Amino acid sequence: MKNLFLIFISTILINNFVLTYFLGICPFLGVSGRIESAFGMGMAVTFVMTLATSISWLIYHNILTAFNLIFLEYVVFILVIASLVQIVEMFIRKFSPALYQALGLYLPLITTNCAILGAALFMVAKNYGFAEAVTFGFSGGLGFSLVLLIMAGIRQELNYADIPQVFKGASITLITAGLLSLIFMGFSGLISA
Amino acid sequence: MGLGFSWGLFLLGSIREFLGAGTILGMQLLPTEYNPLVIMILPAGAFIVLGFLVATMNKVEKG
Repeated sequence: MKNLFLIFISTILINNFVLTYFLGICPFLGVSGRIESAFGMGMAVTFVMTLATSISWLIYHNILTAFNLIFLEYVVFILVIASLVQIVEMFIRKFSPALYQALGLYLPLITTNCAILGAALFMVAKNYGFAEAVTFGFSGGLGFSLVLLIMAGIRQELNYADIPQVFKGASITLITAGLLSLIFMGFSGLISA
Repeated sequence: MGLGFSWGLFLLGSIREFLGAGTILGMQLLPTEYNPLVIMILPAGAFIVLGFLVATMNKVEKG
């Protein structure tokens, strides 16, 4: 239990996927313009990441290792992620057309969100058990959503700020992300190894 | 596209290594008394340097 809690806290705050591993930068920069779409994207990624890590864990440990097919792990993981994204896409298109419009191209792009494949590969590399893998995927998604929401909030305020012309757009967003990353470094003192 | 990506990566890496360790490709360029900006080696430095590179590109393109 203590182990799961440590994974939970450290994946959200200390080893955040976006700010320390640079994974999932593309939706992080692309969808953080408005808080509503950032929230929708965060929920979608959390859902896909949690299920992707659990299903990948089950397949990896029950099928791939049993039949000595570990070399197929990338293909299998990407297949799992793509099917999950397809489900989420159909669900969102049916139940929230507004969110579907707001996410646009970034919704199918969750398929190749490196944070999700990264979570699946990290979970294998770190030899996690099932409960740990699920916690890891879930907290990874939550950490992603948290950073995305903070970023969206800051960017909405930035619209009213007086920024020099050359820094407008992607530039100020990247610098803001750098400052956020600095802030999150402060959390690394939370857990002493 | 591929070449532009390599060039950008090379530029980003050089700036970060130069400021963060005082070296380029492992060669010591700044005197050893130079106190390295460790932040440049850390993830935060990558975001900040990339932000400034994009701003520089904007300046070059739009004047």
